[in-house]
Amino acid sequence: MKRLLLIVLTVMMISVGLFANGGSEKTDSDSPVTITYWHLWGGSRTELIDQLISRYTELHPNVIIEPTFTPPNELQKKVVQAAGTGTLPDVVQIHTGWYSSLMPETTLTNLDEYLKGDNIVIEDILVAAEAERCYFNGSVYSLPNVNAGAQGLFFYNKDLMLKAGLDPVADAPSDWESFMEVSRTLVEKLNDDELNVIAWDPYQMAGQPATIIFSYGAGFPTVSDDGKTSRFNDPGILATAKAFEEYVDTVYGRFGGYKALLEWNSRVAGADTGAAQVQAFINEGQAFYVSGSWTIGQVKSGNSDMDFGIIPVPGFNGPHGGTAKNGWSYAISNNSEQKQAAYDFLKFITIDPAGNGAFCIAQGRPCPISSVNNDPAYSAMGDMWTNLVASMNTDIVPTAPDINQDALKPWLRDVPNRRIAGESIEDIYASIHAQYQDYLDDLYN
Amino acid sequence: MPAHPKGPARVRVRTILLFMAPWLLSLIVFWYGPIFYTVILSFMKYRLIGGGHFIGFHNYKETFTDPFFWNGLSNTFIFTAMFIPANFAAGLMTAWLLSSEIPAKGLFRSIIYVPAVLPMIAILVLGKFLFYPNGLVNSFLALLRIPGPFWLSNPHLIKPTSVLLMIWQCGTAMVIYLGALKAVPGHYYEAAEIDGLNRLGQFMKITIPLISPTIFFRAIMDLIFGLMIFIPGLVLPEGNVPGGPGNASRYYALHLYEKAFQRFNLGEASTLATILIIISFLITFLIMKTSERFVHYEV
Repeated sequence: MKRLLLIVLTVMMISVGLFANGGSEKTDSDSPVTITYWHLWGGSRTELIDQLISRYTELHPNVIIEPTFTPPNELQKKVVQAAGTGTLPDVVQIHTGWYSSLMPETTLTNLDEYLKGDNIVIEDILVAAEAERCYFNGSVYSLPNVNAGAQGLFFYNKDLMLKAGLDPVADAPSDWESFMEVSRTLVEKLNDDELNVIAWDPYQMAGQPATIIFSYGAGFPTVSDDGKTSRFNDPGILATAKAFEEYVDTVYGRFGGYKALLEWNSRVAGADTGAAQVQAFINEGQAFYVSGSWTIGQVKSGNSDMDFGIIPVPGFNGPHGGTAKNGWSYAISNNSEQKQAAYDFLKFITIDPAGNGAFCIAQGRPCPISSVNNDPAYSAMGDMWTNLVASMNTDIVPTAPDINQDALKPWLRDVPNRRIAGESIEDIYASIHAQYQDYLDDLYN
Repeated sequence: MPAHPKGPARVRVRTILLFMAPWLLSLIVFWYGPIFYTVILSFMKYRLIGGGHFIGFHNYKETFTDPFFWNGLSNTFIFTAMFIPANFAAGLMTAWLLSSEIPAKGLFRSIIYVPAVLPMIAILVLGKFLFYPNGLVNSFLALLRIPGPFWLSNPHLIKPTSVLLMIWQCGTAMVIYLGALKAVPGHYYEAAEIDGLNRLGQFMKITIPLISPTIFFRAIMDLIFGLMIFIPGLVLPEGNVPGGPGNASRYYALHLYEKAFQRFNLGEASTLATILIIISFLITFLIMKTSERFVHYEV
């Protein structure tokens, strides 16, 4: 009898133990949890990520976050490979433009039930366009990390404008014609025989390639609404390319056009990477720069003495922003063994003003969380913030689905090289169209 | 030996097989296995995520009608056609010079060999700084009042520039040629001198034929290297434009890499890999078959 009782008790204890540990995903709030986390925030932003993690672990002492930094241009490859082999970390940074190639239903956690369980309606918390991009086939698979909208901002160096005899407020360009005129004056006044200070290079590798921003501004998206068809053969895109040709001729013709810009890149910017070109603006070797809101922090930390302003892009049809439908978000791996804990951390780094809100404010860049954008810290930026918000206006230009900047950037960066070699702009854009279509076919068909 | 060895012979065969097993196993698992799997994948529509299914020869049809396939192939052939003679000339000339009696030849041998042990990427990054529009090469040309070209952004110059940088690593070829030159018996040269043959004649009529097996070996190695060329197309072009300028350095292997790891189209990437294996095999076979005419294994 004693033996039977012992067996029954043992079976009961084992059963209780099993159900207590494996029967539910919910983690005990006191039990130690380690969450693996991939992000792309390098440079000065690494410190902000460390602060973000510290704030979270102070609130949740039982949680250990293991962050891994991956540069943005390598992240897609790494994430897709990890998704294919089932080795994604618990929380992973993705670009919502990758949704189609990432097959979220298989690789990422559907967040609908988690949000419902918390009575969270993302549309009530997020800027409309940011909430929209969380969905794939009607379900939420990621939450936004930073604002995707403000991609096309026009940065201008007020000191260089003054030096060239231009008024930084009255002469700040408002459309393409005035931009070309201001650029020409500035380059003429600030250079003798050798090109040392440039106005702008239309084929620089900034955030989004300028061809995309200016074409969108004029109403010509470079890709179809479903993201599967290249529009680089559209006459509107070619018109953008021809306007850039005219810009280079007008502003740099005396110095040798594209050749002078290439030589300047090597001599003044120091190298040919996107980072070096931001550096040229920071070092005041370049007066204008078209990039996204992330550049504000870079410029401020790189040259705190520099007096610069931000205005909407002086487009062909007047000032506009350069919005993108997709942007950086965080998702949870479908293979995560601690989805609840990962979800709690995900909320903090995306929709929580104390988490992601602070991360955005610290960078002076707009936040996907609507309420955070009313923070007094932003209004301290004055005109810069007002112009930033104006540029973020997503109604001005069409949204840009599934643009893969990493694919397009090198081909557009190559345009000056090919022009110098004697290829016609029509042939170059036709070949970019063919190459981009080939790329999209590989990715989606 | 009988068809089925018995007794001690059988034990010997088993012992040999046992010792060879690790190598044979790794050859099958890590070489022939992946090659076989690649060939299978070449007949599939296969994505990294979501698996794949058989689609017959569709990938081959797509590949042969893809202009970027032909572009990659022609870039690779042009590079290889320039690289093989350039590396042959650089390796053999340095070996020939350093096999003769010159002062401090040990030092020169070391200097020429050192780049061969450096990673290719290091040489290319250094080369990039040399060939920038305002790099060392153009600065030197400017001293001579020669306008320097845009080496890395000119579609016609990017491949010759890549070859120039690649033959920095001719040290490996030099060492092999040096060994071959040392093995040529001295009395052939003595006899030729008595017959009144000058140095060039001796080189062409004695040295070259006698080291032809080594030249042939190096040519095959350089051919394989050329067909697999990849990193210069990724690193060298101005503006960080992989394959640029104007797709002039979009080599076959770079095209394959982008298909597999940027577009995740593993099916077509495997097709490209299979075609490359077939091309390498065919060219090597052709050269081997015709080599009897110009390779002399015996005097």
